[in-house]
Amino acid sequence: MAPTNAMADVLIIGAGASGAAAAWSLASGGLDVVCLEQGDWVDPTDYPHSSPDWELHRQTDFAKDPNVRQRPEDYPLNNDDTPIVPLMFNAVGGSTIHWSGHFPRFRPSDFRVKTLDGVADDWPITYWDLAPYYEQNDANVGVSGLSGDPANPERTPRQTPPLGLDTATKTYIRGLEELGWHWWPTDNAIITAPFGEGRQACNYCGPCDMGCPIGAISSAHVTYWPAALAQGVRLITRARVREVTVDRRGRASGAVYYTADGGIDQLHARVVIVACNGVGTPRLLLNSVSSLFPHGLANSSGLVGTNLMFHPVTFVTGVFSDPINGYVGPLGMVLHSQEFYETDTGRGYVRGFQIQMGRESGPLSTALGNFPGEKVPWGADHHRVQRELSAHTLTAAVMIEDLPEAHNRVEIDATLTDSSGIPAPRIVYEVSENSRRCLDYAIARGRDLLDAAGATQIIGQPITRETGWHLMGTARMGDDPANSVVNGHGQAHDVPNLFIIDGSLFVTSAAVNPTSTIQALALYVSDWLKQNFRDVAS
Amino acid sequence: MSEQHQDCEILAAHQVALLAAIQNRLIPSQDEMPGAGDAGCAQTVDRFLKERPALRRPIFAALNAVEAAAGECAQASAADEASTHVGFLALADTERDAVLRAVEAAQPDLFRTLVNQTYSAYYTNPAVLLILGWNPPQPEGHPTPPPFDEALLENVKQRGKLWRDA
Ligand SMILES: Cc1cc2nc3c(=O)[nH]c(=O)nc-3n(C[C@H](O)[C@H](O)[C@H](O)COP(=O)(O)OP(=O)(O)OC[C@H]3O[C@@H](n4cnc5c(N)ncnc54)[C@H](O)[C@@H]3O)c2cc1C
Repeated sequence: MAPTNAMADVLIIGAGASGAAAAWSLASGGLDVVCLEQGDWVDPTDYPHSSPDWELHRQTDFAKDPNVRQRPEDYPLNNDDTPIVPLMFNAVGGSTIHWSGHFPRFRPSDFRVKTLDGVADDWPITYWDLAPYYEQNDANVGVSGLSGDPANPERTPRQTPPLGLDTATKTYIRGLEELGWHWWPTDNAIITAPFGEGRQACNYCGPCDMGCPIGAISSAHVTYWPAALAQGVRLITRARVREVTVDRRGRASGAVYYTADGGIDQLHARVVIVACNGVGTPRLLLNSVSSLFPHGLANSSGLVGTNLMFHPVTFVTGVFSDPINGYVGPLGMVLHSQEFYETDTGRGYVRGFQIQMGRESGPLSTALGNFPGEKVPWGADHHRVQRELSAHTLTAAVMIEDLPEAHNRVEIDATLTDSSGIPAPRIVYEVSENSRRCLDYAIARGRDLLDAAGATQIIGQPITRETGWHLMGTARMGDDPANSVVNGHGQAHDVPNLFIIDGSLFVTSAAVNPTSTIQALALYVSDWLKQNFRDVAS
Repeated sequence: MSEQHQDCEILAAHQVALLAAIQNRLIPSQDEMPGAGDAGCAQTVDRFLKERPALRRPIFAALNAVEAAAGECAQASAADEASTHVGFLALADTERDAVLRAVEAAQPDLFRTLVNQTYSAYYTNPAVLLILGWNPPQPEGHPTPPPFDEALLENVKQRGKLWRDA
């Protein structure tokens, strides 16, 4: 193995969904790739799924919120000024360690919102530029689902069949058919039949949000990383990058990072790729201050960190008189409806939303009201209500498109730091008026759905705080250097050998989960870089 | 150490007794279900406090608040008698519930911590999960449901293309 101070062709910072895909792609193209990741491999025996207190781990070492989880490799966030908190995991595999694996694609219209709907900006690339990379990514990670959805462009047969037809799924279908709405089995990055090495097909255990101990969910540590390592990528874990360094010409030269034993090391590379997610990437760029880049690296536009988008989400829960057994099967479920996806200004807002059919989890999550949104009361009624709810609820997640607004942002907190002393991010975000109107409309449709499905009681929440799963927009793509951070190839306008490949790139957020698009972008950028490496690196 | 309950490292014996009594009102025993205090949830919360020191302050404060409210409740119901300190443990169940409701109204955040930690202890207790019929999700998982039936999509397919060209 080459010493870490040798000059690599490409340094990737962050070993999550995007970093893993890029590492595999670039190394497959013959480049010498090294990756720095602040977390470690998750030890398969650490997953709590076989322990009676498995649900407790949602509040502790497998919590989605790093501020709650507080593992040594996590960095804290100042969330005082946001109604939605960023959620993530810091390890090899990144946030795909405990994602739900919903794997829809953006639609062609999602890349053209300015042209079609007169809001935000168009992307510098189109759906059709990314289409081959969506396909390649699906083939690499393994997707269950069904091609032929009339609400999306055609795609090739999915790698494994859709998830099975359990009671919860049938209950939703009853409601959807009654209303005559669009619905389709969601593409899920969850394998339902043998695929890949060392991975088992989903056994419907339920809590994907705490990781998948059998490798059924297509997290980056079981998909891309084994393949990337086999291609010779050097992955250095517990390596926390403090800053991207630059040379006298203002080109990226590598990174300074803290090692596992608390020391400091430096790595040099011809090209640097930042893949730390929509919060970690702007944080790192803003922390990379030098005399040439006094406001942070690649930030001459002043846009690094701005235009932060989440997908505002709310849960609408229906209680059913017959058992639904919603805890059986992946938490993220098998169906979605895109009936209200495209703009219809008659509804009082622009853009749209998707309804994802969700399930239930274990008894503790029911008691705490994690999904129903209301805690089971204490006292004499406790057991009765707990019995009425357990195995009797379904929760539709309505997820709306978030439009970019410059005042929603990631900035560097004045005092907060991680355990290495690196300044931590502060999130400043508010839900826009358009989003509020869209949410109200979407909640009402969620109620319609559960009503049509036969719910006897419906509980809705206005907005849910712990839903910042999708981190987007904070170093966006564009053709104009005054209005974007990187170009249509993910290359920083200010620093030609610096690339960004994660959700920070997003110009707009669409109303679907982002990771198939993040990974398709990572492959797209990597392909361009492979073809142009000599020019970019010199 | 004499003050501390033999099974507990953070809570003193009187705090364990108080917490268990509170927990038996939060999740009372009913039919086959044990009360939370009887199920050993005070000891479990003690473990939480050991593992997560940030919980100590709110739990201690909640216990103090309950004890203080119990004293007021006892004084109010024995207004003409000489006021002596009477704690939560000396109250009847209905009085205990009234005290807990008063603390919940006056200090909702503290009370929420007490309830959340009690629920967390109860619904991860192996004996309780056995009664409820809950096994951990792995290694068995759940039986595979029947395969998805594509015929169910006929109506959706008939609607034709639903996306915009761009
Ligand atoms: C609970 C949950 C459920 C989700 N469900 C879905 C879903 O169903 N569908 C979907 O599409 N998406 C889902 N997501 C989102 C999905 O996980 C992310 O979109 C995806 O992982 C982002 O990939 P990324 O490469 O940009 O970042 P990440 O996967 O977050 O990886 C970033 C990596 O960078 C590392 N890093 C950051 N800063 C530094 C530094 N300074 N030095 C070294 N390393 C650093 C981090 O440790 C991390 O490993 C979910 C997320 C969560 C939290």
